[in-house]
Amino acid sequence: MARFGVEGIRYFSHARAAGVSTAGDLTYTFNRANGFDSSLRSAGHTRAFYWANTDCWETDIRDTDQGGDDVSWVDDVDLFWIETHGNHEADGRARMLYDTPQTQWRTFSNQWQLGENWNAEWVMAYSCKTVDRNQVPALWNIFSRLHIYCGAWDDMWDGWTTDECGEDVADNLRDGDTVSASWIDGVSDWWFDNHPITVCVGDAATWNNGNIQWNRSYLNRDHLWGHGNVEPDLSPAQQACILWRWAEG
Amino acid sequence: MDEKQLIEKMADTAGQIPSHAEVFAVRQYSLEEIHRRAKRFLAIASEVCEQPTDRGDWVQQDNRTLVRLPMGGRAVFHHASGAMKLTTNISPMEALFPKVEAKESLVRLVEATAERLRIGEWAGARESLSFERLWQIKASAADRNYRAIEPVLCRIVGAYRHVVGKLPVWGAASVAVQVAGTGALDSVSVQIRESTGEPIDWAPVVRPDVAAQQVLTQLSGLMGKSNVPLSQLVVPQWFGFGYISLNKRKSQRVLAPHYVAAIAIAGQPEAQAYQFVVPATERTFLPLCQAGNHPPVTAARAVASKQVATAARAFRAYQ
Repeated sequence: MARFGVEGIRYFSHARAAGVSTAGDLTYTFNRANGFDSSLRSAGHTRAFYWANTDCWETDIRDTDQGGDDVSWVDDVDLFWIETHGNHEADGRARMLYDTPQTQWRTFSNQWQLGENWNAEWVMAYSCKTVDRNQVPALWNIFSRLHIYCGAWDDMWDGWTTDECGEDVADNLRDGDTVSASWIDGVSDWWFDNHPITVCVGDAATWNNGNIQWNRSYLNRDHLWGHGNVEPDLSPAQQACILWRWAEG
Repeated sequence: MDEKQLIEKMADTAGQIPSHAEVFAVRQYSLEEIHRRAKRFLAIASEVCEQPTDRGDWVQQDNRTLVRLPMGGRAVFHHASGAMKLTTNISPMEALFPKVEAKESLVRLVEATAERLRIGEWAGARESLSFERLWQIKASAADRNYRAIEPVLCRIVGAYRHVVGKLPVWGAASVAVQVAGTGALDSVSVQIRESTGEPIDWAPVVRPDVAAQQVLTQLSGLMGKSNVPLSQLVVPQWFGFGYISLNKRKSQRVLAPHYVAAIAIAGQPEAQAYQFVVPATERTFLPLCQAGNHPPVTAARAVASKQVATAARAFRAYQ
C-alpha cells in the first residue's frame, strides 16, 4: 500500500500583506484535500503528513541539494497532493505560491528533483497552469525516478462543481484506474474547463525513434500501489523521452 | 472598467431572464430503486459493449455501490444522487485514434454511441438532454533534443446537458460518453437530477445585475485587501441562469433557479479561476454550503518537527 502526503493552502492573506501576490483565498481547498485523504485512508493507505495553510512550506518539495528538505516530505512519500495557486515561468518552469516564506514565498520546479534515492512516485498539483504545454520538457529535471507529475496546462477552477475532485481522483485510484486516467477523469467534470495534464518520462524503447510505444509508458501502466501494476523507476540515465497526456475542450 | 460597468457586462451576458421560474422537487431514490436503475443501466451498456454485465461482483460501500464487472470493468452508483458511471477495461493509451480527426466527425461518433446507450431515457417528463461540448484527450512526447511528435488522439468525450422545462441544469455534465479510437465505449456517466414533473412553486426571479453584485461581493471577500482595485483584476468568463445540480455525493431536494458565474483573475503572477453560484430567487429553496471545509486538526507545525524528521531519517540511514 502507499504512503501519501497532503498540503493544502486556502488562505493567502500573509502573501498579500507582504505584497508578494494579489492571489485571492480559495474556498474548496480542503473539500478536495479532505476527500482525497479520507478516500485513500479508508482503502488502507497511510497518510504520512497533512499540512495546511502556513504549515505548508516551499522547502517541502525543494530538493535537499538545493537547500530544501524534500527528503523528509515530498520525496519521502509515494504520492503527494498539493493545492495552491500556481503558474509557470516564461521558460516553462512550474511555480507555486505559499502563504509563508519558509524560506521563499514560491517554489520553482527547477529546484525539484523527485524520486532520487527516496520514494516519490507521483505528484498531484491542483493549481493553475503549472505545465506549459509548449515547453513540457522544461519539467524534465523533476524526474529523478519520479513516475508522473499530474498538473494543469491552464486554469483549474475553485468552485462548487469541483469540490469533490480530490475524492474522485482517490476513488479512481483505489478502484484500479491508472494514475494518469485517475487524475484526468477525477478533476474533470466535463463542464467547467479544468485543464488536467499528466507528464512522465520514458525509456528508449518507449520513444522508439519517435514511433512511440504508448503501451509501455507510465501513462498506460502505472497504478497506485495495491491497485494494479507499478512500473519500475527510470533513472535519469535511462530516460530518453518525456510524454504527456491532457484533456482539452 | 469600474465595478458598475463590470456588473452591467456580466448581467448582459446572462441572456433573456424570465420574471418568474418554476421550482421542481427532485425525485428521490431508495437504495432498492438505485439498484434497479443500476441493473437497467448495466443491461443497456452491455448491449453497447457487447460484454456481459449481469454477473458482476456487487459491493455496497459507505455512500456508493461498486460493481466489479466480469470482463474487468466496473460501475459505480452513488446513493445520495443516483449518479451512475460505467468504466470498461480499455487501458488509457490503447485503442487510440489512427489520426486527429475533424471535430464534426468526432461529434458524430460520440452522438451515435450516445444514441445506442439510449441516454435520453434517463431524463424525466418535460425534460430533455442536449449535446453540449466535445472534449478530447490527447497525448504527445519529445526526445532529449526537445523534438516533439504530432499529438495523438486517445479519447473523445461527449458532454450532454439536462434541460428541465426551458432551463438547463448546470453542474457536472449530465451525461458524459467517452469513446476510444476503435469506436468502443470507454466510459459513460449519468448524473441527472430527475424532477418529479410537477412544479412546486412559481418564484419571482432576481434581476441579473443584483445577482452579479452578489457574485462580486463573494469574490471581493476572497480577494481581500489589495493595492489593485478588484475591477482591474477581474475577467468575467461566463454568467448563466438555470437550475443547478450539486455534485454526485450530495443529496438534493429541489431544482431551483440560480445564477452561475465563472471569473478568472488575469495578468497577475498567480493564475486564478473561480466559480460562484447565487440564488436567483429571493426565497431560498436550496441551501448551499459555500463556506468550504476545514483541514483536519493536526499538531501545529514547528521548525523542530522538520528537524526531528530529518534527524530521524538520518538515524534510519545510519542504521
